[in-house]
Amino acid sequence: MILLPCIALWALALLCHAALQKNFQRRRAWIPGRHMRIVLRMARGAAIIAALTLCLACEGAAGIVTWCLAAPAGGIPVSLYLGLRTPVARQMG
Amino acid sequence: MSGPAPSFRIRLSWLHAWPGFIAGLFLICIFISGSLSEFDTEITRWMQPEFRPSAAPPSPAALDRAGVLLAEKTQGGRRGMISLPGPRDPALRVIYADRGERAEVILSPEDGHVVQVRETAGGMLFFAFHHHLNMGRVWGSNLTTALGVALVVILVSGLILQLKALLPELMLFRPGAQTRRAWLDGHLMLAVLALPFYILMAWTGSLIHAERFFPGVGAERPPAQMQEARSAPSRDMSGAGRHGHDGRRARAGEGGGHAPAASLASILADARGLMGETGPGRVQIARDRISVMQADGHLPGPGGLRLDYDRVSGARLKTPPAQDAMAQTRQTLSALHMGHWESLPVRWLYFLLGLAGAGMMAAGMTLFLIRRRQENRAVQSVPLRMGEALLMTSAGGMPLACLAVFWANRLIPAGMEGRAGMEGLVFNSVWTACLVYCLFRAFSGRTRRGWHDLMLLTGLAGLTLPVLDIATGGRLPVHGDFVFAAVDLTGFVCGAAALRLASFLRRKVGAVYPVMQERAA
Repeated sequence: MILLPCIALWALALLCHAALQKNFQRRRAWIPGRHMRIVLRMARGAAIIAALTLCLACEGAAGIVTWCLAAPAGGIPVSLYLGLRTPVARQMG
Repeated sequence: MSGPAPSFRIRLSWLHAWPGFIAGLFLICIFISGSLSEFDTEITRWMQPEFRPSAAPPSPAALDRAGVLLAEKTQGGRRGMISLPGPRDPALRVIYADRGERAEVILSPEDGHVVQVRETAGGMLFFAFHHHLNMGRVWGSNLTTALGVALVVILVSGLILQLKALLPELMLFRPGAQTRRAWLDGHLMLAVLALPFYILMAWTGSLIHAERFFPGVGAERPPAQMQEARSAPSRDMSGAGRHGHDGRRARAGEGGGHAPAASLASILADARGLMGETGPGRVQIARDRISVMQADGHLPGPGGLRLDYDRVSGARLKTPPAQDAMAQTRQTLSALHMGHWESLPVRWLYFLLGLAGAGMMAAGMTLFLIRRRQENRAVQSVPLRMGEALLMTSAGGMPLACLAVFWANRLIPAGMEGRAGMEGLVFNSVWTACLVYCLFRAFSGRTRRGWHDLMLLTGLAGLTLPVLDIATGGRLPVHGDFVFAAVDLTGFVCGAAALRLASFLRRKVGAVYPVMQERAA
């Protein structure tokens, strides 16, 4: 049952990715410091690699498919959550 | 004097937009029916509530009875097979081709008596639609293959168009932004994250019928087999092709009309020992041999194991020669496309991502129409109205037509002759009615009202599906049988989503069509 951890890792990676983007920071009036940015970048890379390693270790070559499928499964809910939680006035920016 | 040549980006934008819109009208339906096909076996079980699964493995008497019945049903060289009970489908089925259509008989695993269940098109209705759009197996398959190739082109052109903003806007979704921006965000959100899945589906789907579309692919197959595949395409639906074993069928002229002289139970016991955890799934009987194919559930690769036994003595024959690399690749890609080797959660992901693909295309096509509408504000052209009506029929009418099949399955009397055909007729009729209604709404300038009504009907049909199921013979999820609950719950969730959309559109309808408000007042 590696799918759930894999989806969670992808969600974490994509959340970090979103937090690193200027449009995300502008809409939330939040500017991460240098150390925070490094942490976010490292977390993003580590989560993606950890998900891939987990899939390959458990399912071999077929794990690639699971890894690819887990990306939208983790990313779309995060994207929807971020989009729906942002006040409409700030979405225009 | 001609002006400057359009830039590469403009050409690419045209390639993404126009062929994308035209192909999208079909692709939305293919994606929705493909998602449903992922659970075709489960849908068939839902549509036959009379069948009570048994935990007992099939007895020798039941297997022998299945062998005799298969021989009866496949007289005259028709194709057929025995589908053994498994985790997905606990029924012992004898599947055969009857006048070019798939037919089956369910046997009791205890003693082999025929279980009386309602005749139904079942999940195969959606699979067949996904496969050839009800346009005939040659033209329809060629069209879906062409659409698969078109999808790859459309996806790649869209990827190149958005390459610059791909990573920075990967997670950007602003539903409250202006209309065009919000639709574009939705389109990109659903497209980019699942892009590998869409490309995988388009590519593998195209290659399933590659031999018809790309003549070179079939070059390694023996000429006689190629000839048979071309002359008798209807045999694809006899069952074996559905399960991805089309590359390993019994040879031409051998199938049909032969009862096994050896005991099937002892043959299956031997096969079970060699096939391991997944075990045997299907049995085909030819003139001189009995072929046992491994059940779905093995990982994609060289394909499931097939063992051949002598029809008279039951002795295991020499292991069939390994398939050539082309056939193995084809079978692996077919398994990847159908996802039957995957675990249940991954198959759910296939289902959800298929629906996400339909949503992605609908969002893109809506964006296309919004742009055209803004360009032609003064002239509400006929093609634009037609495009709106077709999009509504494709994205809004298709889910309603699918739900109508579920309703028809329970409302048409169980003993009626030809009720499987009736279910297909209901599907086509509802969809045609949707087309007529959408054309009426689009040409009367009330597109959103049309969307609202379709979503409202879909929502009501989906939300009340569990009630219909319980009232007409469905079962509560006891003894680990969750199929009925899963189908009901999926219908309920889809219905709730459609109603939410209808309620959103209801607010918009008032804003866009003040005339209606005046009339209501």
